[in-house]
Amino acid sequence: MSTSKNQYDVREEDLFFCGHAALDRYSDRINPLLIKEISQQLKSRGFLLAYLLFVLIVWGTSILTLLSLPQTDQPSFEFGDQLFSLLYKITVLPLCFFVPLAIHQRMRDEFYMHTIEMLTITTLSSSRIFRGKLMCGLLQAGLFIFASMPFLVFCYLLRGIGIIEIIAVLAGTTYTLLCFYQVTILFSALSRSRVWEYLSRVGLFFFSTILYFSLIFSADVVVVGGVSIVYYLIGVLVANTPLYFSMLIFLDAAHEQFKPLRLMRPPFRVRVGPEGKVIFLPRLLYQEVPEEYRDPAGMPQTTKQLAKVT
Amino acid sequence: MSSTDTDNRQANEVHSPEAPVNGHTPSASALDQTPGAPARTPVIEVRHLHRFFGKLKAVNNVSFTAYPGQVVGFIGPNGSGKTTTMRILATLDLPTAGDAFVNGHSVIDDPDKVRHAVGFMPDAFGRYPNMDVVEYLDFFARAYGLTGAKRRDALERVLVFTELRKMAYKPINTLSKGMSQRLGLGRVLIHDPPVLILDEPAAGLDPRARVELRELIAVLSTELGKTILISSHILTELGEICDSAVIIEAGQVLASGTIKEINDTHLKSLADSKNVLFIARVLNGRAEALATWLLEQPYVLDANVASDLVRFRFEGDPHAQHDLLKRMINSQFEILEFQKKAETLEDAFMAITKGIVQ
Repeated sequence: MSTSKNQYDVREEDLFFCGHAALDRYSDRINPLLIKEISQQLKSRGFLLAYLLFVLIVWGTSILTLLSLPQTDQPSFEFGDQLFSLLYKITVLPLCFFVPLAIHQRMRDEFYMHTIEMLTITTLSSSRIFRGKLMCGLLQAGLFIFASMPFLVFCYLLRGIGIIEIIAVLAGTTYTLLCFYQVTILFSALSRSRVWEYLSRVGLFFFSTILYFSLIFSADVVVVGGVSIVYYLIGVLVANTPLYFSMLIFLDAAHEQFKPLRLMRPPFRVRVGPEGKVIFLPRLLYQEVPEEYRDPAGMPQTTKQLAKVT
Repeated sequence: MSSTDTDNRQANEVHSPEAPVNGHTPSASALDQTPGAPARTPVIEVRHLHRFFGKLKAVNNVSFTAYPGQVVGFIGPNGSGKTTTMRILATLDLPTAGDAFVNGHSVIDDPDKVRHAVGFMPDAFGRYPNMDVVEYLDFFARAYGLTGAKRRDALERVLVFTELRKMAYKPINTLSKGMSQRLGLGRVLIHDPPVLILDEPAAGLDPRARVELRELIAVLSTELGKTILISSHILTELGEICDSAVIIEAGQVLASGTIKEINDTHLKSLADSKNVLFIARVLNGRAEALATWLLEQPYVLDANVASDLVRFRFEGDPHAQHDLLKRMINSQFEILEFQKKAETLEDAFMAITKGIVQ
């Protein structure tokens, strides 16, 4: 089974490795799941079509808007805020609907195709799997924002909006999406049956719609309404953070109902980072051992075993 | 074998678990080593394993061990607890009680170390869309923490071993069942684990693919020293590739040991009663006539016809067998073949199991 020489170094067709040696070396530091999912996405017709359509719409909207501008020499003419508002509405559309749906679909496939089990028995930790999924979603979102970024920044030249406002709105959006995508991943892990899958899709669509309108409303408040950026950012934090944690608690409770999921290691439960540990510390400390884990023959269980159960 | 099947049953029933010392303690319920051979450390040790799903006792006090280089057949009817046991060994599930050790590491206390030591191939493993063979193996190599040259070497080694080199850039969704199974085998080999757990690897394969898979498994065991726990319903094949077997039914181990030991122990009662199955092949479509004739002969218990073959149970001694054959020929039956049916693992399985469904 062993080979004396690595043939990848010499074969011409293996440019996947030898042609991109430096990239390959660097890729060892990247989350494997991120590499896999991005590679799959780039081969996916659905994503490519959606992306192409998005780019065309952004281009078209920008050009048509510019063409429809009135011919005026007034120095006080400002149109940047309105174009930004329009482009922002288009940009967050795939971020609120397409990306979460893609995350949900990938998670659902993992469970339905039993690939989650193959992942589980690798040495990838639960948090790495979670982060890989999350980063893939964020990268996808990043690609959409990247495509519309030149046009969003171009709004600055049309006046009516400052570069700081643009950055603040994009930062607020990113934070909101970060929270939303984390919840989406956990939410998607509930898809254990057809009924749950249907319900989770409906729920996801519902939350996506709320998110979309709250995002465009809050952005308009800053860009068109002229509310201070500081208030906007505080509002984003205050609105998202408690919602995020309350969703985590809800999802954790829901996941508790799924014993196979609970037993699965690493479980797709709330293992999102330090905040998850802090918020669930009381439960971790005081949780009783489920009855099923009590040994039927009175066999004592190890402390570690009990710890694993919790 | 230092313990018989009776010992195994006793171990299953009355053995209290010893506290694991450095991960393992060899128990009496081992798929035992050669008598007189120096004591070896078991690679797989399942000790009083229980797994209950509500009232269903999927695994009920299962104990067995496997040693380095052994190919252990895990045999049982559907729903007997094979897959559940294998999933626990692969750290995909937790036991209700008891424990299992792989390379001395507990599946409960040290699942991460177990994962390094085990390659698990489930009966149906999903395939990722939009991915080719190399990408698939590369992903799992990364997932097992292989980096740089080690990862590339592992990929090359697995592609060569599974003969998937020519299909390296083929989308995995387009692979045939046989090739998919090779890919699955490649995935479990990517981190070069000492223990392989294969759940129904030959299911759905055509005869050629089965033979090829069998050869691969033989190489893994004999040349690469892997310990393999394999479940299958094709008992004739298991009999050829396994040196030991564990027969399980309704979540309980009914027999374990080497194939020869199982055959000797469990087919002995049949042999002792001289209730032996014979096969006779007859020309000119006279199988029905021969079966009717046989039923009139002494010591013949029953006779069944299958095409030109007649299978019958006979309880006479060798002299009586000789007389029967002589009479058969004198009665103008053109006998092409007359033989005692070889005792196989299948016969042992049928003798041991009772067809209990939970």
